[in-house]
Amino acid sequence: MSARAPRHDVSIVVPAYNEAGAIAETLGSLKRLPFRVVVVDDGSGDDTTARAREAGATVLRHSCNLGQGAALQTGLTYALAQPETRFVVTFDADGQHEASDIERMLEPLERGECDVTLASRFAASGLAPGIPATRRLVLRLAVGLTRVMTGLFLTDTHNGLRAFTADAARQISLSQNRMAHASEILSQISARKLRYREIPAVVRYTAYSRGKAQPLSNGVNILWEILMERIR
Amino acid sequence: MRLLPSQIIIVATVITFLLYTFRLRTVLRDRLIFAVIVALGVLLALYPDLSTRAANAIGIGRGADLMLYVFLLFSLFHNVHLAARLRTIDGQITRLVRDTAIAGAIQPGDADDAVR
Repeated sequence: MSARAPRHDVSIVVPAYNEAGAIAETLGSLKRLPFRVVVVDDGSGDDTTARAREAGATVLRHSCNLGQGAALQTGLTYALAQPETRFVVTFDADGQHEASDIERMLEPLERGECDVTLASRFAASGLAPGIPATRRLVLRLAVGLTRVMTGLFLTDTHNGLRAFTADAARQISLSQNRMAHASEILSQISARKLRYREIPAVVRYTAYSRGKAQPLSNGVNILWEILMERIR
Repeated sequence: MRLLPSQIIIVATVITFLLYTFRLRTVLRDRLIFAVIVALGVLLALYPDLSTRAANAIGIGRGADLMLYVFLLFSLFHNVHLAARLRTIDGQITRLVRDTAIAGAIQPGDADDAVR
């Protein structure tokens, strides 16, 4: 598989905060693809940068922790500054996504059928094995809220696996440094009238990813961040 | 339910405050509001029974109570001002950290001493 010619027109942005325990495996799975991998170490206190370098990724380091939204934006800005970039993929560091889903995410973009593809763990059954019931419920609520606030009809609004054409990624500008960026991306997709499509993709729930996942109470924090953003 | 003038005024002020916070804020207006509040304070120091007369006029018993309401609204205003300022600074820090990270990008082939 690694015999394929490298394709530097695709950048995979992996935001990582204290992911030394999982990043090597995640990057190992991405290495089988011919794409450029950009890890954004969001001010980790552990060996995330060293592990990512060993795995052969380009590494950008925040000198202090800013939040996942800020890390994503740093990765997007960097990828878009490379003249050969045509597509940008976002991919979580904790090993919840399948690297093999990335090419399916890119296909509709390469055919010019849409500007953004969003992975969904609820687009078909069996894509979220081991998902805790409370998490499923909260994600369902977020889906409903997104429908009301952005008019986007999605089945999964908080999935870290996304793919953008360079042109679409340029129209996304994240100012929500913390977790509200997922909603912010969607509201900008809606406002800029980008053509989007959901792609069914597996999200794996392991003991590690459950430990890393944000507590459900963060839903309140996300709403607060969205509200504070409106203050001038 | 019969509303006292004071109740209408306080509710209206809170609504105006929210509207101001989310839609109408500018630096100039912030400073004007600040100046008006300081001037009011001076006026009340010069004419101590003014607060009681004003309070009675709108249906609040004591001048001290009116002062408490005004003080609460003012601290709310001040807090929002600070929060907005913090957000601006957050944004500036983010831009700095991002620019540094991108300028110091570590490429796969880079030697260890190229880092940091």
